[in-house]
Amino acid sequence: MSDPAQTTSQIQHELLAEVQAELHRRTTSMVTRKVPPTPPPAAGDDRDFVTPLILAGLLSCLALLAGTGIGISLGYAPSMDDASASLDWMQRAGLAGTLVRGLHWHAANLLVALCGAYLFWLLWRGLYRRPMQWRWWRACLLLGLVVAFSLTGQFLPYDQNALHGTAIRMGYVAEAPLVGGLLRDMATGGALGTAALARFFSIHTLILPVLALMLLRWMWADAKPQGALWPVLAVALSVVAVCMVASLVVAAPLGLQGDVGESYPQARPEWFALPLYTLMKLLPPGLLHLLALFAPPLLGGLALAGLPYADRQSDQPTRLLRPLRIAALVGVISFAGLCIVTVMQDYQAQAGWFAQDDLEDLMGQMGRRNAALGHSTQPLPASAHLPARDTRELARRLAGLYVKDIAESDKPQWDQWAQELADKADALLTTTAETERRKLRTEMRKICADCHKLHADDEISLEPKLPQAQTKADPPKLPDPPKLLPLLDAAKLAGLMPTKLEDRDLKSTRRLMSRAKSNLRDLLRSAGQATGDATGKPEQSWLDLTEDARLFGAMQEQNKGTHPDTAKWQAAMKDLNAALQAVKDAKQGTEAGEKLDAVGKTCDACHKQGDWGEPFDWLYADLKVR
Amino acid sequence: MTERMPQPEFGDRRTFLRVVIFGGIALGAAGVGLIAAAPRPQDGPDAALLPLLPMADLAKLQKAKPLGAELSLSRRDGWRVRTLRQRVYILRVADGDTAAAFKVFSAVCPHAGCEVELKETQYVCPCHQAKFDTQGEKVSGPAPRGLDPLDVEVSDLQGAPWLKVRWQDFVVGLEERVARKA
Repeated sequence: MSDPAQTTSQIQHELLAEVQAELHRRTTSMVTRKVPPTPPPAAGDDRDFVTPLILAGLLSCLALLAGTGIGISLGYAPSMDDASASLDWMQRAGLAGTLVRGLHWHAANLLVALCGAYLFWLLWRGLYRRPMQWRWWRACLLLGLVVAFSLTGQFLPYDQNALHGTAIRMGYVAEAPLVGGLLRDMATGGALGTAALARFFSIHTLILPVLALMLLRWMWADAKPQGALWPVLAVALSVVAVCMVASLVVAAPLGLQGDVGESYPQARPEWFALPLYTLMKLLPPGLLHLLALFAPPLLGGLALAGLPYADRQSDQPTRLLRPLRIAALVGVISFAGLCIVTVMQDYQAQAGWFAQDDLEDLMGQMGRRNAALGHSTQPLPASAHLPARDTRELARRLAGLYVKDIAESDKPQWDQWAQELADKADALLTTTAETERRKLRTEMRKICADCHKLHADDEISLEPKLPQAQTKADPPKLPDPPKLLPLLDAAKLAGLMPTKLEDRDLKSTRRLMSRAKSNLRDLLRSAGQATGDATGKPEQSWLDLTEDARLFGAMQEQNKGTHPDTAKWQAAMKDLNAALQAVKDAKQGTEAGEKLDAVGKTCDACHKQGDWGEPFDWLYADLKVR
Repeated sequence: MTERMPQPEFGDRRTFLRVVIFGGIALGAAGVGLIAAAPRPQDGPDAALLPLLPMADLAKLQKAKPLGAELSLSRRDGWRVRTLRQRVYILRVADGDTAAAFKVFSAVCPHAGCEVELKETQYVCPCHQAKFDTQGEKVSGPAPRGLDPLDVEVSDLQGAPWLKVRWQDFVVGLEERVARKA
């Protein structure tokens, strides 16, 4: 038997040695596990020096956007009354002001282009294949983020283009099946006003940047150059230089203050959304419309995301590269083609980006700004900076846009007035003293009056109405009547058609009657004679109602026995048509309203005859309940 | 036992240079924004005489019984112009309805810029208890000087004589009275 003490120490030694061995095994395995397996070289990857260069461009754009974004947010106020004015105030700061917005705008456009180029390149070289699928997915995600940035950023200036463009885009979002309306309300917080601006600002400057930073944490590694660093530096410097030159040549656009009430037919999407816009224009509303709106982004996104699993791994011969290359080329060509369609159409019609100023429109817009500046006996309103800036912009466009019969010798005077008006409006933006500002307002109106005296034969009132006049207890005035006659003809010219009736409608007087009733109710609502909002345009209701009247007559011919007394029926239809004709000929609002009343009375008269063996549960008076 | 952990990513020179390049672009761009958003020289506050009260309202004002009133001032707030209310005190120093018969004090305390309140026969500043008599002279407390008088004029406004005042901001905390420029 050995010594028990020696045995214990031996056991201790053995145990210690075992523990050390185990520890060693574990640490080494941890270290070796940390080292990622070297990915097998992808096809052409060893000579791929383009990807790091595109990524260097992307990173430069993102750096520019982050920097200028922080810069802009230092002076930007997300509210309806301040958004465009605060950006204009920044732009007045000379070169720095021009640059900070210009760089942001041009870098954003370049970023979208580079994102597209990046995806195209990865696709072209088959660099989406496993084990590089994560880089591919990151590229797809980046494109999605960039689109989200663009959608939210375009609204922030709150000029006419921003407001009307976003209204259209949000309309598309709301068209999405099931969740559309909810999605729009979540995004905008209700109407497109200050609440929506606050929300878009937060999404654009807080939520999306955080997501972008998370994505960039990995893209940083993707962008690691494989060779020398100087090409990256060259790309970065070129991006900055290109954006700088571009912002000096084409300043970031900032239009008139956004106003839902003022139409803006020039609204066009950003260049990269033009194909979608063209499709929306070419396709008839309905299912096709919906498909074109949602199928390309959803299916395209899914297809792109699933691509790595559709093809073999990169160390095996590819299966999909050739068809994908063809698809990519077709995609690029159809993108360009759809862009060109709209651009050419706009160019020919002098619309959209090619729209020419119209003097009458311009004058109307100036008139509204003039009214917004307030009466001369009152202090300037708190938001006078908005009409002042708009007047400056409008006056600048006025130079060179003369009335038709202006004498050649008067043109320099016209231009001088336009220039003076712009200068005074600009001075109003920087002057603080109330007395000075009132003086400027008076001088602006004097320029308008001088010009009108010389060139316009229409009387204008330069002083807006005092608000006191409105407090008088006038009877509520009817809104302008639906301009029935001109609209009817215009509607026909514009391709408005009577709503198509279903077959069963044509077989039942009751159905046709209820349709006529709802059309009549809509017309009354448009004329302000009945409560509630009209569900359609007055010209459409009008077209439908006249069509109904025609069909009433025809039905009696076709379906003998629909009504027992054909003679009485024909007489009633004749009365109805005469009454409708009278509304058509009405000129004034009140007159049209009265005549519309007469239409209803003929309905009542016919219904009240009551000896036709049919209960009449409707009276015209029911429609007018206020 | 001699295996080394892999080097952290930011350790190498190339990564550092990339941070310098892209970080530099971002910083430079933010700098441009900082310049554009910097406060810029603006025209001064309303230097004109501002109407305070019609003389008819001041006919019954007694000597040594100051009257509080408010001026309406235009102040620039970036792209906006705001209207501020500024309290002043009117003191009759002689009979008659000329400008010389009145003194108008700014209610801004010359100590730290709070607004003094009229308490019976004294102006008292609620912030640090500086006290002034009705003539605006310093009585007690930390104020370095008396209340600041403003220029006064009587002239017509829409056919009636008005007391008008030229508002001025004075530098607080000094013994001598220095008008602030803008």
